[in-house]
Amino acid sequence: MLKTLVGIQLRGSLGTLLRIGQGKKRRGWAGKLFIALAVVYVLVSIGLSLGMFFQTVLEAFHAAQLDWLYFAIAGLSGFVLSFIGSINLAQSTLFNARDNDLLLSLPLKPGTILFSRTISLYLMALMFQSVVLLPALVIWWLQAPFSPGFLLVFSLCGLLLPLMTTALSVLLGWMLAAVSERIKRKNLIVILLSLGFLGLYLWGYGKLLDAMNDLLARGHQIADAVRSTLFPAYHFGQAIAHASPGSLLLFAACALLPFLALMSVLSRRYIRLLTTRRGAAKIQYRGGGMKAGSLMTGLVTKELRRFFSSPIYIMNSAFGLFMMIALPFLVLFDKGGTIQTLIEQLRLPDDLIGAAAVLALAFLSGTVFISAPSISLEGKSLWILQSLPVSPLQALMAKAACHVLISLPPILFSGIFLGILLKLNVFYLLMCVLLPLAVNVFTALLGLALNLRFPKLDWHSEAVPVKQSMSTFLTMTLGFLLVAGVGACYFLLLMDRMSAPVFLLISLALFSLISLGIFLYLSKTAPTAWKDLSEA
Amino acid sequence: MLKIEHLRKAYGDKLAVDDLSLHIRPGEIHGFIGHNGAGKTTAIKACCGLLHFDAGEIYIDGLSIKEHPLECKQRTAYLPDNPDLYEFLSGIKYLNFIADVFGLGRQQREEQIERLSREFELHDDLAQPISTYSHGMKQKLAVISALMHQPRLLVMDEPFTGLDPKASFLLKQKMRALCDQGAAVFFSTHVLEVAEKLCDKVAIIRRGRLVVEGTMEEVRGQDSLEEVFLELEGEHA
Repeated sequence: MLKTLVGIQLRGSLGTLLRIGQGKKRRGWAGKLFIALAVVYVLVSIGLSLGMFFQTVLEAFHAAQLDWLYFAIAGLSGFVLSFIGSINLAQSTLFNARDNDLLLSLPLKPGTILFSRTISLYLMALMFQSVVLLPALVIWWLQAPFSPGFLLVFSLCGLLLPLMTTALSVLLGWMLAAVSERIKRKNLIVILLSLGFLGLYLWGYGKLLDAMNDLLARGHQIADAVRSTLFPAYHFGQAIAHASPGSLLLFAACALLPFLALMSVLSRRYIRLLTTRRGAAKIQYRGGGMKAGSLMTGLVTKELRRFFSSPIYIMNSAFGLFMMIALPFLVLFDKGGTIQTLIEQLRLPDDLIGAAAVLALAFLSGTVFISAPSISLEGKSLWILQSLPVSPLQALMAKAACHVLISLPPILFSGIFLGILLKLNVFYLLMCVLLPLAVNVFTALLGLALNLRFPKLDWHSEAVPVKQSMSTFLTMTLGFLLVAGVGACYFLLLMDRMSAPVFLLISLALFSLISLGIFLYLSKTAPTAWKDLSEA
Repeated sequence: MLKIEHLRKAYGDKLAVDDLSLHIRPGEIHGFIGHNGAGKTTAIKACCGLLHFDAGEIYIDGLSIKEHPLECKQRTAYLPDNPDLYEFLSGIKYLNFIADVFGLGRQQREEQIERLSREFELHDDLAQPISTYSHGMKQKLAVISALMHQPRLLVMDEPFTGLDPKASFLLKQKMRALCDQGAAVFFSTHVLEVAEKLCDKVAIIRRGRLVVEGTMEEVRGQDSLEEVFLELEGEHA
């Protein structure tokens, strides 16, 4: 039974990412080639950037005879990425899945349901973590070819590590589910709690990295302190780098024991958690107070309400906007600190500071993918839009407008605030708003085009279309990698031949043109693709 | 009002609807009967512009659903067999959204919502999120949203599933009232007694093909509709 449940869970979640065909129609070779190229581009870009980072780290740590620290850093980074990737997922997968009632009605042990759902969380964590650990492994292999025994220990540790992420996200999901059950403005509280938890976590991680830098500077003097503060990471590194059986056992204990303890406690309370609904006081409708709006107003309002009703949608698709808002504060509270020192040390001219600020904001704007799951999120309610006198393009443009409307205030705020803080001239101040906005429009349209190609309408949890779909994965990665690619082109190749203002204007024109291209593509293909969704 | 001509729709190798032709005139309540998987829902979805079809043509008020989908949908209301509504909205916000789409003025929407929601006994619950509604309440809300813009054609797939007896009775009255005003109703049902009492005409479909169609008297003769249906099922098995 467990095998069947796990199979259903995996087909529902990972199947979305891996499925190439769309519904009952087979995808042609051009579609397959596009997907393959996009995936290869994304993987190569991530692999190369992480590889460069690990190359630097390995050289430094190897020289200091701290090989274990290399793997400890890789493990920690993988842990952080997989945690960020799976934040909120546990709550929607374990506690808010649509098929909970169905499963509870079947003769299944609560532990079996819990375990089948936890496996999909584990696999998500494993996938995110592999994005970091595999480049680390390749870089290590290039420096020192390894034995089968090394590979075995690395694989074991790699399989154990996601258990820690899973345990942490299950614990967070449990907390959020428990808190949100007891309060009125649950969405707001869940978002604030998630942000607070994530902020605390990233702050702690930053402190750990500072400790690592200290370690590099002062060598082995504080090794004992690190051993105690980074206990699991230390043994993760030791087990892999020195094939230490003791460390492997200790790390396995660190990964397995909290996970098993949590599963044991939760499986006993799981059925109670799922079946306890405290409910809210009934609000009686008293009539009147309605506003008549246009068709587009109605559609956009509906999209906005959908967005603000779902913490998992907000936290994942608009995470870049939170980072965008945080960026000026980071600069504000860093006066004379790292950023100021960096600017002084690199002796960056004003033009480059301006271009870097614009690109940083554009990069964050490129990570916003509000529109990418918006068609999938229609789910079984798709019949409403399809049966109403609404053209496919109107429905899609309402989703794009929602994406841009939500992004606009953070873009304006961060662009103007950052421009003033960095004392940028009017041109760069304008570009701090215009380029991120152009990138935002681009990701809004790209998300829709990709979601039309990769719809996922038969979901049981919002986490599936938001976090585990090809459209969101491709939109986010293509969005920020394209901005990063454009920026890298300038700083590595064009800086001597082209002024920063000209480069920024060309970038603005480029993103506007691509957006226009996608809009024309959507105008042409949307009517057919929209109706095809019924058969997806 | 609704004219289906030689409709054909296949899902891969499986033929769901084959050469279906029907004509539903203004003022008619037309029942659509068939066993599970006979092709009723496919035909109904095609009529409402939710599905592509491979061959044939569908006209609403003389307008082709292929060429004028928006004009056709402006005249139509569709009620699916299982109304999955926007759970993140409250009942009143959902109705307001539908009113925006159909361009109803403030006064008109307020009057319609007030009257229909009181009739279907959903008025006091309209401020509640749809996620808290029972299946029957969602069905009532879907019915109200379908009726509030006074469609010329009402297309429904198993509309009485989940409705309580009072709401079912009221819906039947509304269907008749709409037809008295010159609109038409086309609906599928498994409940043959309902079809027998309510419909002016019925069509029986089997494996995607029309088996028989006509007025109630023409179809059943001296027998009950149930006997006719079972006999036809046996003949075409």
